[in-house]
Amino acid sequence: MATLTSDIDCSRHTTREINQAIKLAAADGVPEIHLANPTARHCLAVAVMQPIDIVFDGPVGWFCGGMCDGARITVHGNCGWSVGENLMSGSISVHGNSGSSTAATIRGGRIFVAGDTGARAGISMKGGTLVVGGSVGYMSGFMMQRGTMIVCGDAADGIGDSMYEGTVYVGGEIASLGADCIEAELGDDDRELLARELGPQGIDSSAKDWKKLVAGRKLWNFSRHEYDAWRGAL
Amino acid sequence: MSEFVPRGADGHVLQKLWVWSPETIQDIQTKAELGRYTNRALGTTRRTPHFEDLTFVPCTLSRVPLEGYRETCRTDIEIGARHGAKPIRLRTPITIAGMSYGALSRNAKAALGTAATRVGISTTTGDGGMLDLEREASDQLVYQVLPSRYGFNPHHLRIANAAEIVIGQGAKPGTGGVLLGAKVSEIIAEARTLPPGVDQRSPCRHPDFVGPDDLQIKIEELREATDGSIPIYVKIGACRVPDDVKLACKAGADVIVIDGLEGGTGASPDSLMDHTGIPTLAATVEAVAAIREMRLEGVVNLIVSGGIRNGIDAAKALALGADAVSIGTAAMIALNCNRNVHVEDYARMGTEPGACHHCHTGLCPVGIATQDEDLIARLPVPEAADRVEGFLHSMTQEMQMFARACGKSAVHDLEPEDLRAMTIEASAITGIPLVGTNFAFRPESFAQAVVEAMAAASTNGHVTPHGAHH
Amino acid sequence: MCGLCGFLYKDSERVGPVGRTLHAMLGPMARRGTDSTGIALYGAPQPGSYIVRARIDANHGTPERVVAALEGAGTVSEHTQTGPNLRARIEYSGDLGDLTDAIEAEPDVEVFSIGRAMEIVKEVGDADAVEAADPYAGFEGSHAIGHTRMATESLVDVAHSHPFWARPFPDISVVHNGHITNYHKLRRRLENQGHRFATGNDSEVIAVYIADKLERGESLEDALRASVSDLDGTFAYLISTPDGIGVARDPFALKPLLFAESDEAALIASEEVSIRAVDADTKLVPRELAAGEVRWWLR
Repeated sequence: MATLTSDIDCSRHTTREINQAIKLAAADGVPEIHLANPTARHCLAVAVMQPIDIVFDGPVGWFCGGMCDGARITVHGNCGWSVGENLMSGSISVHGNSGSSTAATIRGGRIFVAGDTGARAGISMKGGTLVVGGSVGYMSGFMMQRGTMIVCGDAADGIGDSMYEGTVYVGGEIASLGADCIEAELGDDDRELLARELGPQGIDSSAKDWKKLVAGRKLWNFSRHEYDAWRGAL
Repeated sequence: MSEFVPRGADGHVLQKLWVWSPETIQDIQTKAELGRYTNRALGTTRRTPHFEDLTFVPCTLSRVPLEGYRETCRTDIEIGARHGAKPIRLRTPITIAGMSYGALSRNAKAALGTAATRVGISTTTGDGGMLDLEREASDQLVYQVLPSRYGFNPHHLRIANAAEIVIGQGAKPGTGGVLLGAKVSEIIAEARTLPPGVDQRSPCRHPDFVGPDDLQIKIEELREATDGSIPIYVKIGACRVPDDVKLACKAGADVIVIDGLEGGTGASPDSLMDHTGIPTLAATVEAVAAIREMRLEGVVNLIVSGGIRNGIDAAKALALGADAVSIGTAAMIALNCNRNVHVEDYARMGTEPGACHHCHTGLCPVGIATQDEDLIARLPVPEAADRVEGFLHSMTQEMQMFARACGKSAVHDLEPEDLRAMTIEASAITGIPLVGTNFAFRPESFAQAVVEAMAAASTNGHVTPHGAHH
Repeated sequence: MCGLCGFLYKDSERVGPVGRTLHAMLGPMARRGTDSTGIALYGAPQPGSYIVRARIDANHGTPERVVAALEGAGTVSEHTQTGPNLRARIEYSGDLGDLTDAIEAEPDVEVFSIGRAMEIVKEVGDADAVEAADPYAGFEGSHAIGHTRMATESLVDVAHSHPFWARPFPDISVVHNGHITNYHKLRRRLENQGHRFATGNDSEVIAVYIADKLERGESLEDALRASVSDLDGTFAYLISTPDGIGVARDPFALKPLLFAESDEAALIASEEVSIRAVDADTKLVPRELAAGEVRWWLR
């Protein structure tokens, strides 16, 4: 890759070449880079630490946008597992469905999935925001420590299992709550947050019957009087 | 009637029962009160088959020993170059194992880093991320990627010298970690993004990948994040070692770290420490064989840890085929763990120097395994670093001593041939002949013996007694 | 640990280049494991006859003796030998277990599959290696499943490679990603009921388990649903039958599996990159199977 470019045909380059080109462009202040034919390849746009708009004209594979800090990624298609894992800041928008472990362990920034996610969306989140236009899969929000997950559609079994300080909002049906996950009262602050987050996506937050889910705190410190809560947790 | 031992009811001899020992009785009654299992720190109480059960057979008449102090004995090795990354250079084949900032104080971490840099080896971060002062103190720092991802920062990954994906550790393979509320101080809680004072449970699986086929993609991600410039280690608690090692090789690991049952930990359930995993001795043998079977000897490097106490154990591990050893507990003890000072503080925890494994309480009397400022002040960094440096040098000298005695000018030229087994168990586990015999207590040896006996019987017309040889 | 894929034409009359489709789908997943690769392909069934696929890893006239054994059991209308792989068509009306035994009476012979339509091809190495050893990319048929393997706990050789034929039930095979942790218990139960196993590979038990249920008259749907609770461990698997494909995912969603479908066809794969290999224009949008979900497509 001798010349700097703002357009890359992924089919003609190795993953390493693609990622190097993105990083060079970012370092050089190129505002936007387009990537054609990603064809669901793995590990694209990993650890891009500077602000740059990255647009994938097609589906990406696993770990897209992992460990980024400041980049803004758009995917016109599906993505695989672990999109944006450990995101520090910046944003990722997936105009399609995402695989399992969406937004795993993110610390900041914002991830938006227009469609549905696989299992364990928002697992181990430590900050940041995950917005899902569709539904989330099994065990989403597992061990969420901080941050906000907004699910416009339904949540499968085990939502919000073993959370610490994360907050989950679900607009559709909840199959079952996870361990130590309880419903809390929705306040005006919450409604404002939902409107603020969903408005830009063109979603009318007021049209949904939102449930706010937080930790019940029974699994925070062991208590022998809460055997039912601890049976599965230890 | 004179008595040797007291009598009990109806005249029976008073003795403790093995199954229902005082320890077991107390354990049951404690669990009944607590309503859960118990935790402790450090390592197993078991006497395991160990490097202790091997001895060297140096040169005498049949081989020529090398002079100490005059004829050099090389100790250095480069590891992690399988995929073209800049390797870790160890001037002596020892590394400091991953121990978390959270489990350890910042002074302990700084002292370990300083000592490692002086000696020319690497240290490793732990479950809690990288401390700035750790990066400053340590010339070569391995960055752990753990299931919890507490404190994980990709910027730290990019300034590390290697990355270590931790699948598990020897003290509690297959499970996550536990840090009790007493040790989740304000500083630690913030670093781990947790509410202070919670009983922190770490997950047993990574959040973003599951099996070995997924691990391959995760390793690719870490290489992309670091532009392929640093080695990727995979650390495994010793269980199904041949399968796990082969899978790690196939997934693309540059270095494999195998941590045996004797491995240490800051806090773990008792039950797991003594009843999960296999001893480091056995794990070493299986790991070496697996890497050889994959034809990756010298390409994928092997580090073994778990109960490595000194240069003696290290030399034996090298002789069995490891490229290096990693020490955790031994390094802490060199720092001052279990030192015979502040005895009243040990007593307050219900223990005494020489028997303390109470890291999980956060009340470490010598300032190593604590976040209490007053206790940390008992571990000034310069002196602590000197002690660890001294211990590392002693380990190196011991390894060189054995190597020279066996006629080797490099510690990595030690081989199984230089060893004999002191017990049948050790012989069966390692394939090394039992002392005083020519026989290794392995199925292959028995099969060979039968074949030879039958061959002898068919030529001589009678069976000759003999021992199969290596 | 592995990559899975599958393809099916929904119309019961329709056939097409399933061999080429599978070859394309398998390619990008080689990274999930190249210890071995295998495919089960379904061509046009001919009533009254079976296709036998067998591996003969021995010399000294063994192929001839195997053909002779077949000729002793039924009428062999054709047979070809490609390297160590034998393909024969036999008119036979007896017990397929007996036929398998007769073939495997010779040392170093393993029957890969027997079926009216199903043919299993497998080899050490990747999809190209299989094609080079025993060409399949030109195969025309109704449906097919395939697998690339990274060996975990069993040997790396062809015998332990997927797909596993659910012997002796014709036209049923399985490909599996994951590890069945109650394999031994399940195997003993099925053996006590008279079933036999060719390998020590845990994936094989899924094939026998499903085939057993189908033989008892259960539907594919019921068999798939029961498997989600009866199998313990991690699994995503495809089971191929004479007229379709069924898939299931474990209740913890630990192994990946996607599917996509149009009016004409259904495609299944561990990763989207496999589907993109045969649908570069992204007409088909795949989605992940949910935890514990089962799906099936019948022609």
